[in-house]
Amino acid sequence: MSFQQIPPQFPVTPAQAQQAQQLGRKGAMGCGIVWLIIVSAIALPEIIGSGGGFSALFLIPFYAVGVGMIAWGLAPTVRALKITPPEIHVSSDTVRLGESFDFRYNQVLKDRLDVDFGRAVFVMRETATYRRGTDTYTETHEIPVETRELHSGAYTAGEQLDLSHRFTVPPDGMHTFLAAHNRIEWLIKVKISIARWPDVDESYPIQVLPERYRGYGAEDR
Amino acid sequence: MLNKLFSSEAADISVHFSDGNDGRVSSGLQTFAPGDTLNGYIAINPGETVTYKKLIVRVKWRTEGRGDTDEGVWTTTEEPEGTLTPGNVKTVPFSAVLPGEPWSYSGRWISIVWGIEVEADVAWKVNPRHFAPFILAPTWATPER
Repeated sequence: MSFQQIPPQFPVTPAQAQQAQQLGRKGAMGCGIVWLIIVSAIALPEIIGSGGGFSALFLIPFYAVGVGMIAWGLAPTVRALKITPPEIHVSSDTVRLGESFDFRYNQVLKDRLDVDFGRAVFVMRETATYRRGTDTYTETHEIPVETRELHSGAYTAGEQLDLSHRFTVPPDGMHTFLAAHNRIEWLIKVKISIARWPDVDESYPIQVLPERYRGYGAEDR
Repeated sequence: MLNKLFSSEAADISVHFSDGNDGRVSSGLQTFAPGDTLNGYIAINPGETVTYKKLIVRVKWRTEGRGDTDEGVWTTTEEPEGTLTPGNVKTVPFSAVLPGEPWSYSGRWISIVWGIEVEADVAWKVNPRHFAPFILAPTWATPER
């Protein structure tokens, strides 16, 4: 019997998180296109009939929502024009408290880009979800454990954005806990801010087991 | 405060852990490691005559804090129908081998609290109820993180 009440479809490994992100972006694009079609079908005949003008201004926020969803969905495709999609590898999907694991992350530039900052942060995150009336709220609290940073500045074609690092789970930490309304997760959050180009902002979960690592070097930490 | 909300004036319920337990006392609470055996008894001292349909003792965890409550029951012991009379203290023994997870935890938005919940199922009345917390954590870990 397991006490982890993992919600179905919840990504627990980096590979699953990548799949979920891709699916989410495709879904956003689809929703954006459908939204624009519906808005156009309902509002355009009215506006054309009334001669346009002031009433067309009301359409701008509605179109902005649809365009925003499509833009978010297309961000990786646009980014890929100047930088390859990230190659990610984690030495182990599940780790124990006190255990180290290798996180490999790199992207190769196809063109010159200015990187404002880039970092991979290993965090423990609490997520609490609650309902008040018909609204659902979510509160999160993150405790950063370790950070790997890129040097900012200009990168030329062929150079790599390499955020690979060996991270260690604190030996006195808490294991991953996934329930319906409360979650304690361990994540590697990658954020790369690129000047005048879509940023990278992704999270990769690492499952921490309720066990203590007793291997070589564990006593030193 | 929470204990007040979940308790009833109809009976004074207390949970006693046996001396022979695997556990230890930490932060004022009985503390157990995963896999430890939990032994003890419930003492119910009724303030009035109470006839219950069943008496339930659960070893369980629940979340507290900002989020809606999640909970999981590890073991349940049920006593069949009976009557509690003032002056007669009823005792119910319990025993359980504790699981490996989830560990007790106290964070900013989330706490995971283990405890023994006692509930008398009484028809047409507020069920007398009591929750006695304990800590489930390995000997080398603390719930405050």
